[in-house]
Amino acid sequence: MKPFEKQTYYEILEIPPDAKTSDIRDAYRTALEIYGDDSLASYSFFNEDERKSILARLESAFTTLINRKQRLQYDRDLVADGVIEKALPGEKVHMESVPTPVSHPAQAERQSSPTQTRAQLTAISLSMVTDPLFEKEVVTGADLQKMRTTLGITLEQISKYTKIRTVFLCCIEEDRFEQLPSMFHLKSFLKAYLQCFTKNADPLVGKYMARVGDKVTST
Amino acid sequence: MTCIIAIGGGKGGSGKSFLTGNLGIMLAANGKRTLLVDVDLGGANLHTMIGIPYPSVSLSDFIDKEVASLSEVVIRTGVPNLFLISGAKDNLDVANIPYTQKMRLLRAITKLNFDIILLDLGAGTSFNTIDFFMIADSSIFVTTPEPTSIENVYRLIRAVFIRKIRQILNKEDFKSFIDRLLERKRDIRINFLTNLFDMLSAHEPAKARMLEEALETLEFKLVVNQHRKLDNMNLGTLMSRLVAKHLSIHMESWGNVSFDDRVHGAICNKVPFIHKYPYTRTATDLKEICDKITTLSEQARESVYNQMELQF
Repeated sequence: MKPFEKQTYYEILEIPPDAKTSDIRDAYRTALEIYGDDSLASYSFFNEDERKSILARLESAFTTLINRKQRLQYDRDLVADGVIEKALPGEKVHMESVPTPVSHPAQAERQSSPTQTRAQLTAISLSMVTDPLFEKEVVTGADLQKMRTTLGITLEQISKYTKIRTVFLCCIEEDRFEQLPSMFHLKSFLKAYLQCFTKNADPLVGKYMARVGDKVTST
Repeated sequence: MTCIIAIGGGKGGSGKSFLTGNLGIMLAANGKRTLLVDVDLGGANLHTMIGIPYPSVSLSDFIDKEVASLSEVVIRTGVPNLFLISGAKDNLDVANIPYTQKMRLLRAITKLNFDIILLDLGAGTSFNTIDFFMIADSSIFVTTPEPTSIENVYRLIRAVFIRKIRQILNKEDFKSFIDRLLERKRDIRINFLTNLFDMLSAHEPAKARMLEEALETLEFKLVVNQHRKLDNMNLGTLMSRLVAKHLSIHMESWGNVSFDDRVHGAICNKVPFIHKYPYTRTATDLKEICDKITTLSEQARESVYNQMELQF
């Protein structure tokens, strides 16, 4: 986690690099609610100097990004520093990490899965990758792995989000069922893994488990 | 495998005992073999919250070595599946428990066998309070939507976190290094962890990684209690995100528990609120937290491999 002073203007306002002007205004307004002197949520969280410095940086972020010319220059500087990839016209900008917004309560309640975040940023549509699996009669571990790697998600990201150890996720992708503690574990881990990719995980769980039926697991 | 959950909050009266008692009753009703332990030394209220004004034995019997084993002070509560170690019948100086007795108590708690153990902690940030977080699988911090309570809970979160770091690095004999860092910054607020990791990485990168991994396993939860209609709905979420963003501590917001005037009456009548008013909004809020605890305890059973070795 980068210290506040080292985060980009987009990161501290918690907006994507291609945010609209209205979004920038909203983000700044919400940031002021959180970090302002009268904020309840951040009461005593910062000392006076820290708060002043954060508010100053937020103001710089806002005034820079709200001005088209300044924003363009700022974006160029970021690209030159290698912080963001150069955006070709029409292509979405790819950023190294997108923190979950503090400012948008509805979103803050649900932490973005790595897939949702990545899919938002890349041109690949999530359903493009998951739909074929629904068509299949059975789903193998290799199918899951292919889906995951096509989207550029690592096992570590899924592990971090679902809190399931990478070792177990690996077993699921490599069809090594017997290495999971129980059938219950296999099913619940599998469901959590799939819920990173789709809201409708149950049918896919069924398609995977259909193959497991005959194999031996501990319970 | 027992799931131990510490319930604390910097401020007295924020609702720790209220939550512990009522959550315990709900967990027991769901079939979980639940033990409530009142470790608010010198301020024990849990027995009153669940309607047992005069427990026959208490923690003091164990601390004063009247009994040899902690299990001998576990009492039934009349609620099936729910058991209590009360803090009542205490000596006036129980708050100043000697170090060896405290260690004996901490170790004894970890050896008890239940589905879930809820530890009702005292207010404040003394070691006698904070040390109970060290044996917990998860920590629930309770605050009310007032600046006084919020300031205290931030103090507590920082104190617990730093104590945890001391405990982890103690293993590696790094205590003096960290103490030096802490001495330099008395009023630690933000970016503490970043600075810590920078210092560690410069000298001992392997230890920095080890610390990072250990801290990843920390489970902090925040509950906003006594939430009134005019209070910000998202206070807990914003606080959790602040802690995550600036302290790099993973804390999850577990929502709000609504303020209800009838809580006062229930406590005065020494009747558990959840028994007297099971259909209130507060009861519903409590049920949601109960469900989250249940899920946590079931996950804890699965991740037995991730247990950190205790070292005092």
